[in-house]
Amino acid sequence: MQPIATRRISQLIVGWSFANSNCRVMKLTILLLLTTFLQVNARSWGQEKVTLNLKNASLEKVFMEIRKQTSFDFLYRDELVQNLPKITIVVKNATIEEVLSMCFEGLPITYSVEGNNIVIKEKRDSVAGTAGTKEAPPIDVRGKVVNESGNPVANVTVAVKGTSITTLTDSDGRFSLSTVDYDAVLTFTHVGMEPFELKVSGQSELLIRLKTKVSELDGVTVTVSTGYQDIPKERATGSFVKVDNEMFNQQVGTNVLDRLDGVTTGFQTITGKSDTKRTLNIAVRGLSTINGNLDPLVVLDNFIYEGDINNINPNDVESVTILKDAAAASIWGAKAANGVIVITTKKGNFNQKLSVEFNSNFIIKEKPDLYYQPTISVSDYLAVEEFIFNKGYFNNQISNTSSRPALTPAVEIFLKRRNGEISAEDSAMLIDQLKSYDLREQLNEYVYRKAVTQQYSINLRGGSNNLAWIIAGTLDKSTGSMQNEFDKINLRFNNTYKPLKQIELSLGTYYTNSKDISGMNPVLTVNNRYVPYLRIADENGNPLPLYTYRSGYIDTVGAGHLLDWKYYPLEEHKYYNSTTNLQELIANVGMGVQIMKGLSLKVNYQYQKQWDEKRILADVRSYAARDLINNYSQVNYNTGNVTYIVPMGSILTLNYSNLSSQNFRSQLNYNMTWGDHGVVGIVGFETREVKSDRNRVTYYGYIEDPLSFTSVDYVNRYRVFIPGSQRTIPNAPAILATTVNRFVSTYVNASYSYKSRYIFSASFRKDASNVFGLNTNDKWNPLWSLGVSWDVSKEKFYNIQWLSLLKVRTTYGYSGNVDVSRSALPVAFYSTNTITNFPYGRIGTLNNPSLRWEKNGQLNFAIDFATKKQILSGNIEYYRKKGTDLYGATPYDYTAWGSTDVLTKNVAGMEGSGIEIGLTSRNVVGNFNWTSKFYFNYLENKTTVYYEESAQDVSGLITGGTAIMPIIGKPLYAIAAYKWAGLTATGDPAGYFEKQISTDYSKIIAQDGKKGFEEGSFTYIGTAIPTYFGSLINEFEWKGLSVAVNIAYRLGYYFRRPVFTSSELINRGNGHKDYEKRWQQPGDELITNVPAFVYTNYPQFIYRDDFYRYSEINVLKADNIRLQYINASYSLERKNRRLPFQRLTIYGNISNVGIIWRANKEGLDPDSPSSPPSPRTVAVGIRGSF
Amino acid sequence: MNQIIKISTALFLLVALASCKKYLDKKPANNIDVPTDLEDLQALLDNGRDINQNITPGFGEGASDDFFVLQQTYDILPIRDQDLYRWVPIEYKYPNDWSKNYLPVFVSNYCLELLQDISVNSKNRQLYENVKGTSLFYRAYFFSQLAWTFALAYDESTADSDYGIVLRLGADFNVPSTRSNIKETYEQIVKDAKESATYLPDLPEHTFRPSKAAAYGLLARVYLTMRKYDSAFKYANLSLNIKNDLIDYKTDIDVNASAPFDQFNIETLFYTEMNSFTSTTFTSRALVDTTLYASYTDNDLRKLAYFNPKNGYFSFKGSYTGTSTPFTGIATDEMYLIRAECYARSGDKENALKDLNTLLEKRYDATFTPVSAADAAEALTIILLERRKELYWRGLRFPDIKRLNKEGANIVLVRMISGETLTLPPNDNRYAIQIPRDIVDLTGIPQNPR
Repeated sequence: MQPIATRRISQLIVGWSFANSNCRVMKLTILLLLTTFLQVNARSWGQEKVTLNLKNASLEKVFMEIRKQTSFDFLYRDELVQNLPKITIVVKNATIEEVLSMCFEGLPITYSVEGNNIVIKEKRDSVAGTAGTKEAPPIDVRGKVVNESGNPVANVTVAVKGTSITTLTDSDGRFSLSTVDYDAVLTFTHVGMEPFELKVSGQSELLIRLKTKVSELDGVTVTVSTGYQDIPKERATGSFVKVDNEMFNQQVGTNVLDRLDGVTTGFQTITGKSDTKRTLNIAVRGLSTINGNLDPLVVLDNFIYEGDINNINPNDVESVTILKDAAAASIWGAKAANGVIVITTKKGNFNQKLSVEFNSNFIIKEKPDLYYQPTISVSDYLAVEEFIFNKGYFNNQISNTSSRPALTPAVEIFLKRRNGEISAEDSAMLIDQLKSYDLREQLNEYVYRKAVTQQYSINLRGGSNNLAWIIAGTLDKSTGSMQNEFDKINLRFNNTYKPLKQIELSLGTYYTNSKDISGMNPVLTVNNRYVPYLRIADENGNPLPLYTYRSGYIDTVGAGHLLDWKYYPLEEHKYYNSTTNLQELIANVGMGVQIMKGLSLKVNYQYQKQWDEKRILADVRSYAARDLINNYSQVNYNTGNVTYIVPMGSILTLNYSNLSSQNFRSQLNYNMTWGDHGVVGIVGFETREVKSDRNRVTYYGYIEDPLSFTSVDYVNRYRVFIPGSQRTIPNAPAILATTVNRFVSTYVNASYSYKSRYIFSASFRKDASNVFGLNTNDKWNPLWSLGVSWDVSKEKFYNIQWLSLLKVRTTYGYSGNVDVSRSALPVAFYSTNTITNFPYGRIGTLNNPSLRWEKNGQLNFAIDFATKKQILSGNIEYYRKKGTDLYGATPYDYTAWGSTDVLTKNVAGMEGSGIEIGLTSRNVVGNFNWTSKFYFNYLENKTTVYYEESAQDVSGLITGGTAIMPIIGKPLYAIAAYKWAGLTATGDPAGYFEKQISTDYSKIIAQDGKKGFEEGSFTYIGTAIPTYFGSLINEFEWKGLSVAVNIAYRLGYYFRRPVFTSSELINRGNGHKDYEKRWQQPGDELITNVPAFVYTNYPQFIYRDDFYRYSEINVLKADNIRLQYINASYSLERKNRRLPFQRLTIYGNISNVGIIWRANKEGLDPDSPSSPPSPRTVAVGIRGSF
Repeated sequence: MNQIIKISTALFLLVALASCKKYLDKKPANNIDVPTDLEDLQALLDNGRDINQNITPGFGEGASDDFFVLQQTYDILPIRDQDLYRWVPIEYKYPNDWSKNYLPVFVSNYCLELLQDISVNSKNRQLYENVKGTSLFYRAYFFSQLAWTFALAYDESTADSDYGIVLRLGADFNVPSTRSNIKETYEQIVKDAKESATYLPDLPEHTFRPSKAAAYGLLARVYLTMRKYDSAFKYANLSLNIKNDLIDYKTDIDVNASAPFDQFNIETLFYTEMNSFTSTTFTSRALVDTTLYASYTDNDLRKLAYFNPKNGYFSFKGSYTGTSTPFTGIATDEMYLIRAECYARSGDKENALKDLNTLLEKRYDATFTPVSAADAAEALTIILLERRKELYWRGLRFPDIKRLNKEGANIVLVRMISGETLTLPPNDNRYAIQIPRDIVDLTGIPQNPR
């Protein structure tokens, strides 16, 4: 838990100076100074012996001799020893201590030992020291600030006490101040470090070692990264949240974004939604668009990350910053409207000792709960099956001679009985036998396994005065619940080199290689019908076949000349598998040039490429291959000869997709402080290109060794057995288009601070892209932001003692949302018609030159506060978002085109607002620590402008809730339902039509939704995503043992529960347990809401079920509180143990622990009402460094 | 230090000032383009998926008397299909028969407009003419499909007051839609079809493309629906002169197969399929009218090739698409029947029966004896029945009923549903299907009266 605090912490001040003329000496001294940091603490003080024989030597000569013989070095100001008398010393095997006390006897100097350095200082009471200071002229002071481990600390405020002179340290921890009084006192302050004061005493070169604040160890943030620059959070006006390494590691999963869930404000994991414009299932501050891209922008270090998010290994991640408001995000311009997530990877530092970190863990995920969804009993199911069989339901399938659908085992029995092939007793006996089977039992036994993931990672970091580097390697190995496998390797190298003081070069690569091998994925329906008594293995576990076509047909067709045409669910994976091999390489180079004081230039280039190869091999023994070969076989029944149109052999399908991106950025950084004023600014220019292409090829008759395959005829049609018509061979090779998206941007971002309590920030950015068809000049789209913050607690009049920090911030600005698939000319897509082999074109969009990018304005207001000693700290933010110029479908007279009824124009609008509260409370501080973190989010949104027609038709919300449905004045995800009037005396569900109770379901359903909810058949229920959500994390810590418990809550939303409907049971075989509660006789309507079971000939059969399914009684409150995870760890420190490690942590984690409270009484997980919820996972691991 | 400033400034400016215009002019994908040259236009016209497949209206078939659905099927129909089946006003929006069939019209207009900017020379003449002929053909073909569905039968006496369809003759979507009258509608169709025939090759490279034979076939069809039998005869004859192949059901196909016919078979002149918006046209739902089925004699191979037993009744399996999707294109058998009908109407019994027997000989088994008739009128009756039996499920019955009722055939359609008997009297306004609600709302064009 406390890697640093428990180590010996001290403050070391070293001062030295030398003649300004002697530049070479200065450099050497610095070099010496720096190299000493690198030396390993091999032997300790007092053990090393010195032998000296020096006569009339200067002290420097003595020091040099000691340095030669020991691992110790000396640090001193030249003038301190230059004028001292020469000495004579003769010792043999003396300790350094003895030698030094002999040497310094009677001199006005003393020393102290810090690590391997012997620091020579003036004696405090020295008269000589103070004598000179009185008349001393002002001096220029330079220095460097480091932490306990010698790493530079950036953004330390260095101020001259009693004046308004301040400056900040740069990323190397360096600072400089000009014309400072000879004996001025400098103060060093930093949010993460203990404040420190130092008397200059004429020293012009300083090395300051600061102690980390105890509170910092709890994860209070220091700097946030926007991807363009690092800003100290206290100097930011915008809304940033940072998830630091410790918080990030409280969760153990292999996905970076999953680890952000529940440990910050403004971030949300989206579950159970089907929007196609969302790929990451996360949201920052809810929604900002209706039809645009829904994913927040993911940035890896400097540049937009285009690859698969699973490629980034969490073990390589140092911290994550989430940019929430316009001032934070608008620097990313036209892609930032959904918020930005900046992932910062671990780096090496200059002047850092070699350090090694490792992490290894083991994650076990339980099997999914197949019994989660209550279903009807097998005997009920069979009774229903017999009932509908007798009604003639299966007659169509029985007589179907084209697609030859399979019948369920029971229907085959009923049919045999009907045809008189078996007796009534035999039939009853066979059916009774089926009653004892349960498919879920077999799935649990033969298919599902506990999923296991192993993660291993190691990294080495180090740095000298001009070199900083990291090498990291990680390995993930997983076996999924269906015996699918996933392996991933990440290798990383990052190096920064300073050939000259003003120039910094960097080079980095990140390589990922993952392999995803499919496991079992049995198809267990009969003609799309769920059959609960299906058997996939016999009593001895031998695989049983499943008929995918009618058994009587495929057993006899081909007169024995065809391959076995049955499907074996437990065998198929042995012969059919898909392997996805994904490789990604990110390489970047950068150069930084310090042009002059405060001004530097940074040029960065990054190339990224992702190769994705999906290889599907259907062995000739697989059902997939046998089915295709059989179906196309041409059998000559006279000769028994079979002509194979699809060649006999395996089928190999290769899908390739490539993605590459190139980023270039040139940026000037300015950082200057004078008097009360400080300016930090960047101005830059960047270009980006993203290119992707895909192709697919299938080889038939494939033999791996000796390699061969057969070419096939994709053009002509051949008669197939099923459905008896003529078909071409499927999967002709295809090359998909290469897409290239290019962006050019310029940007400025600057902040000005006055007396470090008033901060103003502004940003401006223009983006352009090659969105097809527009003129270059029209592509530019300016986006901007303004912000101001005021640290009230720094004002002189501020005198609230208990509230040591009070700061208000407000920002306003615009970000954009670009969807490169939108275009503005009558653009045609070209391909080849597979029937005629003629090239063909299809006009995809009509000319619409006015199309622009979406704009999202955001106002943010925030208060940061902390009580004395940081007992309670946190912030409250309020924001309003307004999306304008959103893509929206506008109706037009489609007689003119016909391809669509709407044209995309920038016509839509939406509004959102929210409140975020993040609190940290240090409840108990001491040997035992108890810290609570509380996160609260409130958010709402609604459509404000959309095209008249459908946006006022509230009937769109009846089936809504799982995808964005814009209805003016309503949330984007909302649920409405049919009003419920109970069951009728005949067990039919009743609703309302024109305010009258009605069972005319087609009328109720066709009710004009534009009349709204007042007089219609509908009622509005509410939003389908949480209005209030957040988490409470309690962290306990005692002597290296720490426990964190995260309780997450989601409130103020609704979901639809799965129900029993006759049509679902009859047509799909899905029977909800509510079947048992169905209306069966008059009077039941008083005790149940479940309609009677009816057959398909019932009037308005489908509408009756639709009405019931979407009626208000089946919408439930989704509110829930769940135990998200428990994390426990025990850390050993080297402090007073003989450990080979600096630190060793053993940890365990349980996540998805369970629901503590839910509003629904059905025992449903509102985030997964109709399928088994994500199972619990347990992880154990070990992490250490040395 | 000065050096560094200079180099840095140069470096920064070099990049910042580099022209980004060229960089941004890159096409975002190599399979997209703004279509401009002849090859592009030909490609647009070769988009079989939007022009030949799943395209022509199904409303007419759904309202016709060639089929019925069982009560249990009726109960699960979408409301629109139920209403269509019951001949009550249908309420519907995009996507629909209207939008589908105006798409090829847009493509044609787009090509015709761009052709004006392309100069013809000896090198591109053939392609130019094919593009021009194809564009005109498609416009005429789909206008005719729309007219048969959304307008009443052509009647010389009321043609300039009856509502026709929207004749869109340009690609600009800002031009408002207006309804023409029936006369203008048919004049435009005939004009386009005739002009197309002058550009098109005799036969196409593929029946997804039109040809002279197809253009003549279209003209024969259209004149037939206009009841201008002389012209219909002329063009059916011209078409048959180019191509008159027939499939021999005795030898060329397996009548017992679940889909006996090849797609793109030798009778096909121009290939289109019916779209699938009207679910009553699905072979899984529609059952053959029992009287019609009974009219096929046992030695008629069509009885086996066309129909499948289903629930005690029969469903259709004999589409020339080789699948269950109805074929609605132009085929030689239709040309024989048009020519035979026109001969009969002109009193030429011999030639009428000759054409009919040429066709039927290929349809019956070896026991076939040529059809005879007492006079031309009887021959016409036989030909019209054979027309209905031969051209089953090709989207032709609805315009035929309209036309024949104008001839005084007095065909009354009857449905029995939910214990109710419904009828559609001849020449009823309901023979013009309702235009989509959203189109009426957006454009203000008049709805077909009820």
